[in-house]
Amino acid sequence: MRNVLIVEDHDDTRLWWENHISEAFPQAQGMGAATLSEAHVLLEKHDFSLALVDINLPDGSGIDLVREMSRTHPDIYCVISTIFDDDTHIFSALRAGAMGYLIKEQPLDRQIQQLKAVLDGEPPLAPGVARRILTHFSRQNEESESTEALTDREKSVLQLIAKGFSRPEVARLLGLTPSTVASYTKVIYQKLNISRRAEAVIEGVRLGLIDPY
Amino acid sequence: MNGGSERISGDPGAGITVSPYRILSIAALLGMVCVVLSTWVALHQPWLGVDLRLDEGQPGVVVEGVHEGSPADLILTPGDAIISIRSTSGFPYTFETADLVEDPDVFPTFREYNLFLERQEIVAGILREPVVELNLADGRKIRLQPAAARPWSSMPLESWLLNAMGVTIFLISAAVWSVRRRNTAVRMFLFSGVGLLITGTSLAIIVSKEIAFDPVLTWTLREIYHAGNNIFAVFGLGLLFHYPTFLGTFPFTRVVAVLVSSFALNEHFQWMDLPLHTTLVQPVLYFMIAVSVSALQWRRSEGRPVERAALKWFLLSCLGFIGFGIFIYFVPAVFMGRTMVPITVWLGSITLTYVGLALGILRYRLFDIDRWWFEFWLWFLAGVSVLLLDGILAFTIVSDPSIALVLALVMVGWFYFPARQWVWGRLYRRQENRLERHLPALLAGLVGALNVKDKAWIRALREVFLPLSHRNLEDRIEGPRLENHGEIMLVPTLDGTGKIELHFADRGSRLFSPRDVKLAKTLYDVARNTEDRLTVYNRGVDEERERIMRDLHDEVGGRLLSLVHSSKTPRVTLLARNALKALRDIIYSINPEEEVTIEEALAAWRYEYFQRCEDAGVVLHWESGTINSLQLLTSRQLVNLSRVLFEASTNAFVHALPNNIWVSWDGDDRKLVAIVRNDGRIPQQGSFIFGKGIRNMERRMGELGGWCSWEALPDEGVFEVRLSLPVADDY
Repeated sequence: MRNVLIVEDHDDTRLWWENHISEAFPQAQGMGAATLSEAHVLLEKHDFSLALVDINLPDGSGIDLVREMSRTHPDIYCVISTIFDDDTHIFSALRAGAMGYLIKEQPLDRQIQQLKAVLDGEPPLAPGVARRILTHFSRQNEESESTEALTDREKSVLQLIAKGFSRPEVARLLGLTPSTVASYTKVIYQKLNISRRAEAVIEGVRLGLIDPY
Repeated sequence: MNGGSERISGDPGAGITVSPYRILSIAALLGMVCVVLSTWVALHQPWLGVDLRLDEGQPGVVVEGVHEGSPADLILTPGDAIISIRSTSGFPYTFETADLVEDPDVFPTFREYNLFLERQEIVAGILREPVVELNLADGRKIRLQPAAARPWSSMPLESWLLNAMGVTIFLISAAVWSVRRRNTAVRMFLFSGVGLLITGTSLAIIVSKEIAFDPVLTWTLREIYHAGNNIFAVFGLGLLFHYPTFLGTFPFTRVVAVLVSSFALNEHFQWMDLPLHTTLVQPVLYFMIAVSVSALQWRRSEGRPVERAALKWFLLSCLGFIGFGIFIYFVPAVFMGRTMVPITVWLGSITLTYVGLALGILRYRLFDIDRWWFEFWLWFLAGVSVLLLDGILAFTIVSDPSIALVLALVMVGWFYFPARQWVWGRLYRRQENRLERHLPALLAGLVGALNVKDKAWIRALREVFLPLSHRNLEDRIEGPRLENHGEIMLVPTLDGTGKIELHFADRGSRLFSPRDVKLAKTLYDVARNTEDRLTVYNRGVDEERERIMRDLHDEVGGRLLSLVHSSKTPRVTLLARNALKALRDIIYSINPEEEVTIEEALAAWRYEYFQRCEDAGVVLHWESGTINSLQLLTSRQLVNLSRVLFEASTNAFVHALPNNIWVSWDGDDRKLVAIVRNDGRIPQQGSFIFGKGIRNMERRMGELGGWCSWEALPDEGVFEVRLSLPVADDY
């Protein structure tokens, strides 16, 4: 873990992360940006392994930044940080390419644990978000076969999480280990992002923005 | 329904150059010409001025009535029996039973019919003399001077009825044809009506006979009357073959035409007598053919309930009334040699058939014609009724034509128009009332149900059209339209993503009509306009709400977050975190579009409870029970119930230190019940401290119209919190 980009307009929180990111990742160097434009400047000058992005920024949406980074800097591991845990924002962030999310209201040491879990391949997944992902993929299947579909096992995991079961419970019900369930979650996030990109390409071809040959 | 071999355009005016109104006017004029001709012929016959009847056990014929001012007035009286009639220079003719027959068709053989004509010739010859002598049973000999013509007031009622029925049938058929001119079945319907106009007006002369007509006139009238009958037979049977379903390419109508022509030629040339009854066996035979064709139509409509319902009506009209007429008039004549009822009853049964078909148009859109057909009739009758009344008044009561016209106008104004308005109201008011009654509800539904607009829309459609059933389909349509000839009406959804399929209007009692489509379009336009305006309004509201949320998030949320992360005091941190939660609740609950199903809410609560229990080292036991998981909770209900549920868990963790927590759910379509139990320390009943948390729980549940209760159950070793929330499902 080299540099960590912290895009957060709230000064105290940004500074806290800058100072404490090394607690989670001893080798990491936290660099803060209060706006999207500052983040762009830092992205041009430095290489980052991880980006912690707030959704609401003074000059735009953190989700747009994540979408952009997943295209221009696919190696950066994006995690969204938000004050609101509503499914809509979180689902949009995951579709944009975020690989996990943190709820800011949690105690910061708890957030560090959660961030570690995200990076260890155990991203969070709330029932509402799982439901949205299921709906998204079922619609995708109806509309086109161009995007990567979910496997039956991934669907089972999502269905149980959507019913409110926790990861250990899902693991028990499906005869898996919790870490396997976590890895399914990670794959689902990736597929979600891939499907979004595939849609974008299809749309680009349709609009004549991308030459398919 | 398939209106025969050609498909009918939905546009009643398609390809029409002459207006239906003009066609109906011409038809009325033609009908009137036929009636005038018929009446003129009937009036210009030698006339004594007596109504005669046969009397069992009495010789000759009996005087039933004497017309005032007639040659027989003051000379003959009712009850006089006339034995014979003679000219001053000729032999007396003694009356026979068969001389007064109303319908010359009652004679079963050509020989009997010819004998009847011979007798008629004798009597007609006597009546053409300047003076005739009547020999009465009481021995009197009376001399009378037959009048060359009779006044029209002396015409028997049967003649007027037959004329009226012939014209009515013709007008109904012409009115149907005037709006569906290209359709083969409808053309046949028109020709059948033409045939019955000829039948009715020629029969009107035949039944006006006093004692005898000239045999040439009798022969000619019978030929014309039969021609009308034959036209009716050919095209009536053809209609049954073509409608409601065209039964195939077999040249059925031509075959029937050949059969009918053969009978007609046989009658004309008197080649051979037919079994049972030379003339009257024909209608019975045609009726049997009609029943066979109807059976084929019935089989064709199998599995198509709407067609079958319409077919039932059509066949009831065609076969029911005509069958009754056949049974009551022809069957006794064929098998008993005499008729039981006047021939007016027979034509009356056919008139009922045509009236029945007209009512079928109203109910089942027979011939694919809609209710406006009646509208156009009502207008037409308004004009005709003035002319008719004017004529009647001018010829009867009022001598001054201008006064007659004024009186006619007054009477039509006072009687016809109120009656017309009543009929009009019966046809349309219900729909108009529905629109008036349901439009406010529709608009209120649209305004009130921001993200379930289509629910309000479907409810309005259901209430206005009372369909037997409806379903949602996915493909889009531009506007309301009919399918399966009115069995189905398709209406777009308001969100433009699909369509609603309504089946059978008025709880299945009728088909949907173009008028329903028009009404649905009006409703749809109103709903769409309202929704567009609401969308613009809501967009403004949303933008404002977003701005407030952003401000709350950035300003208040940010500061609270600073407080959470920077405070060294646990109490302040907890307060700031709670304040942040409260802020989030406020922001969620001011978004009315955030409705979730109970199923979604339960999943979120279970997930959250599990996290909390895991953090507190407590085992969670969760039971969803049997509840309507698809019911919706508003954002307010969701937030309040979430807070109360988590407050219950917090209280348990803080005060009771349990090992287990049980959350079970129950309820029905009207309420949602949660029972949260824990096996921690149980406070003594009545010793709970109603702190701020518990008061908040009560307040939040009260706000939603629900309640919460607490109970220690020492026997079971648990403490129970029970929450009850009213939920009303609109559908």
